[in-house]
Amino acid sequence: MIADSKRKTGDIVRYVRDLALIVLGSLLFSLCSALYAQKILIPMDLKQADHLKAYGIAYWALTKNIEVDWLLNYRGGSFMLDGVALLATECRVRGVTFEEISGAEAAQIYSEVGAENTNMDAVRLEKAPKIAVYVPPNFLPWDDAVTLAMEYAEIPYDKVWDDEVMQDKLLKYDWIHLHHEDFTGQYGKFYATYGTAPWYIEQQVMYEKKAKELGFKKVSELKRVVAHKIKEYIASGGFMFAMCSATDTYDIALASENTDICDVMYDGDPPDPGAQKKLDFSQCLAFENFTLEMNPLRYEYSDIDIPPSDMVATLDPETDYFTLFEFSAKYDPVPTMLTQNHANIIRGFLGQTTNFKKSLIKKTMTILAEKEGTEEVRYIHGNLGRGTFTFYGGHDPEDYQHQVGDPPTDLKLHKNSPGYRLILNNILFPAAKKKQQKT
Amino acid sequence: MWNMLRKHALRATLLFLVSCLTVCSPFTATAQPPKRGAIDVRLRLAQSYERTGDFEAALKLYQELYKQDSTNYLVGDALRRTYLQLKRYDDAIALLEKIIRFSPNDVNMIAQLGAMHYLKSDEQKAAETWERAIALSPKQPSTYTLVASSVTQSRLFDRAIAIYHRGRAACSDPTLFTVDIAYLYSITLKYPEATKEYMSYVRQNPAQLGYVQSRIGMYTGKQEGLAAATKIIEEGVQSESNNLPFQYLLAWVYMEGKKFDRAYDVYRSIDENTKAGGHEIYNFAQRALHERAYTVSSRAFQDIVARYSSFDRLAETKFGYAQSLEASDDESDTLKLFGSTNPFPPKERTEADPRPLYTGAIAAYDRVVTEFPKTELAARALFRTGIIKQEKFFDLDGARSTFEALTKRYPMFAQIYMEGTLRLGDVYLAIGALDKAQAEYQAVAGHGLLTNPLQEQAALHLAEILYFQANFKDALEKLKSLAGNAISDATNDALSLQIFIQDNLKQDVAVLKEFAKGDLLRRQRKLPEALTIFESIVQNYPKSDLMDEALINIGDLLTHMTRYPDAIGTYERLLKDFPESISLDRTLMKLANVYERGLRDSPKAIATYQKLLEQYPNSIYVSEARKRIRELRGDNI
Repeated sequence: MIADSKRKTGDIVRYVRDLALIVLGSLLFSLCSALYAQKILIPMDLKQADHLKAYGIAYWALTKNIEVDWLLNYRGGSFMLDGVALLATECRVRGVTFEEISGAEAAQIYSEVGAENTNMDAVRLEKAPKIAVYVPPNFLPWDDAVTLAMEYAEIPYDKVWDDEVMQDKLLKYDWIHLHHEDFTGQYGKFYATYGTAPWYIEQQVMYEKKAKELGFKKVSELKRVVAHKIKEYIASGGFMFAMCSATDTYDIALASENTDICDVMYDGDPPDPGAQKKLDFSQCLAFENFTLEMNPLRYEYSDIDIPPSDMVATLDPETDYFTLFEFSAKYDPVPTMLTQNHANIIRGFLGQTTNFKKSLIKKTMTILAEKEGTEEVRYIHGNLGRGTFTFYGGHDPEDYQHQVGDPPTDLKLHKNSPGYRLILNNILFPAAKKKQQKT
Repeated sequence: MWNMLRKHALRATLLFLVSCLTVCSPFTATAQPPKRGAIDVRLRLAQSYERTGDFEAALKLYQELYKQDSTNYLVGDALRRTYLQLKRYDDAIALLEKIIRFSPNDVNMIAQLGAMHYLKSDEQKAAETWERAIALSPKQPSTYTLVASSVTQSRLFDRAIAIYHRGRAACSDPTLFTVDIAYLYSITLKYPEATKEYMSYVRQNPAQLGYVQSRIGMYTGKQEGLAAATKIIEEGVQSESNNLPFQYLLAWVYMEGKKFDRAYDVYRSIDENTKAGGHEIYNFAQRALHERAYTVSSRAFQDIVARYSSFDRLAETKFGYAQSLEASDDESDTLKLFGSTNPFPPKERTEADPRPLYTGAIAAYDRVVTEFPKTELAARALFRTGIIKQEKFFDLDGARSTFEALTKRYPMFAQIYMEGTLRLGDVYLAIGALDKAQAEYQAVAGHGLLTNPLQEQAALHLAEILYFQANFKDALEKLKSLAGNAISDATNDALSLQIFIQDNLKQDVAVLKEFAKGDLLRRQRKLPEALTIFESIVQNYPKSDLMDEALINIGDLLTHMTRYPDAIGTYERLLKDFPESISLDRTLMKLANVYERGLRDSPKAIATYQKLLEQYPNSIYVSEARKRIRELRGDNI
């Protein structure tokens, strides 16, 4: 009995000893691995040969289940990945600059990034976001800066249109981009210039057909419902990114729920003369107290856009720049992610909606970039329910004044575009693991 | 805000004016009907309100004016318009019905009433009203035009089309409303129906072919539009084979779809039917040549020659034929990694056309020279023949005699004469007649300033000859002036040779002399002889700085001789034994090319391109290497 008990005690001791040895061994192994394992650092500062494709590599790595750490404010918002040979090859093939570093060097970087006295942080990207672009069926990738950027960076995306939105298929996606859509149902207010152009006529007929198919008498009514559906998608945890006229027209559509702002050439009947007074700004995501532009022949929707589209001649491309705000990486990781860049001052570019008038932006919004000393805000971000949205003014960051029919921008010539980087920040941002904020 | 203030100010001013008018005429107010002048002022005032968007104020005045004179069309229409602006559809409908009571046969007004019902979302009433309008004059085409127009304004395009069709049937005229219907079909994306209507219009008005092409062209830019238009026009031509405009339309739509073979068949038929004597085929052939449809362009040019012996542009036709043959045989090597000639086998001939490459083109150019000896085209034909002999066949004697003939016979065509002389210099150089080559180059370069690219090229060749002759000092002198011209195409080559001579002059001049000798033999395409020289350099001067260049040349020569495994061995030796060479990236690129295009070994080619990317990330070849990897991997980019 005693012998049995002693034997059992001896077994337990041996077991504990073995276990301790295993744990110690594992710890030592992990430490050695951490110190000597290869890591790949994709710098995003001026050393990077192709910033835009670098985002594509980060996305590609996520699709291969390689974890990516986004080092906010470290060398322009660099990426740290496990040093897999496949990854290095892919970086080389795609022309993305990378550095092979040891585990010890990586540990040093993490330590620097995590230090309390630096405005840096590491955010783990976990899963390649599933991306949708809201585009009409006759869409061409070169119509739109976001799709151009995704095509160039080789980030896959699905196309969705009104049918999918109405069938609540947006919920399948982590991120949606609104192609430069006019949610007011005024077809971009191109009537005065392109009213007789075949593409314009066809677009209007196609939109009207779709509206009727989906049970709406007017396109504006359908678009308003679509805008609401997208709002629901955001509130339920989605990420929405809009550029150019998709920003202000989206909010205008939401605000004009109880009125008709479209003139006869757009929806077959005159607008409500009291439309302005009937706007419900509480429905809007980002703007309030704006005044509609009711002249159907004027290429402008409201006074949100500054300067107005027909007065852009007052801008001088040589002096048109906007500045990114700096946020606390540790306390405000979201705006920090959205503003990662290797340049703080970015060359401006026009769009149907170029900048947002500061006084008309809701106080709940975060301003990410603006033209210093003016009312012109370029880049804003906000939250709605469990989701977020970002509005970015202008049409094409590398084509100052892009016109209908202009050739597409060749991003091979703009691999380091800071303006395009802001778009791609938004695409990776939904991949970030949510972590407890240090507030 | 400013708009609102302005509106109020204007309104106040206008009201004041009206008040003044009213006060100033106290006795006219109630007892008597208002005077014409007063009505005019109030009407203008109402119109002003309307223009400024103050529809409520305008409405008040229009209502008063209408009350006073309901027969005034201007007022009635303005009132209807204002009701519409204010979305007071019931009032607008009541007004229209009142107007219609006075003129019950006004189709236009009834049609407008229908549109108003539609705006009110009363579709059934709208349809009934439009029917009512049609019933007034069902045999009159204008009835259908007015009603369909009102329906179109309501953006009910399908219904408008149906009304037009009813009109056709009711008026027993199937040609009515063709353009309107076609347009409505096209904007509703019903391309087959639209095309049918446009064809009907062409049938009625053959002179409108251009207009119809432009209308159909609005949707042939899209695949489905093009397919629909092609199918319908084909059917049209099949059922009316003698309809010439239909044939033109078919040929045009085939060209739009780049179906040049089919277009050619149609143009041939048109040419016959119109007795155009080959002109229709000629125009087609030129366009096909321009569009790089060489097979069909050569067929078309050939047919003209065969069918129309007295064709007035026979020289151009025969030259076009020769150009088509040459271009279809041509294969370019854009990187020029192995010099001006491509070492890899050209595309294989098909069983249907087993002729050796370029023989057809040379024969065709010969015919131009023989049959049109006094023309510039003959000179150009000789020039092209010379180039083919020189670059494709390496038939230096043949090329020499061709260029000599060109320069002897055609000094009157300055540009082609200069180009021919330059080429003749190249050929003399290749056959080892350096003095003659020098003379030809000198003739082109002249003795003054170099003012055009041909002169600069000639001057570069003169420097090269000095290099081949081991006269390095004079060669450097000549290259110095050329290398200074930043905008010249010859600058890069000049700089490259200048640096090469300068660097190696500091070493053993004997090696450089040998190297120059090898280079000349290589230029002369004496491949085995050149190979022997470079191999002897490698063997005899193992410590020379020129070893790596000699090995590259050996590898290149072996590649040209299709001794790919030997070439690979040479390149690999260079990579292994000369890690300090500045040509390693170029060597890797060549190696990868031999794997890819010589041995067609994609995995090894990819691995070699990847090695290039890995070891020489800043090489000028990385972009091409990336492209090649992605193509070989089959990436969808």
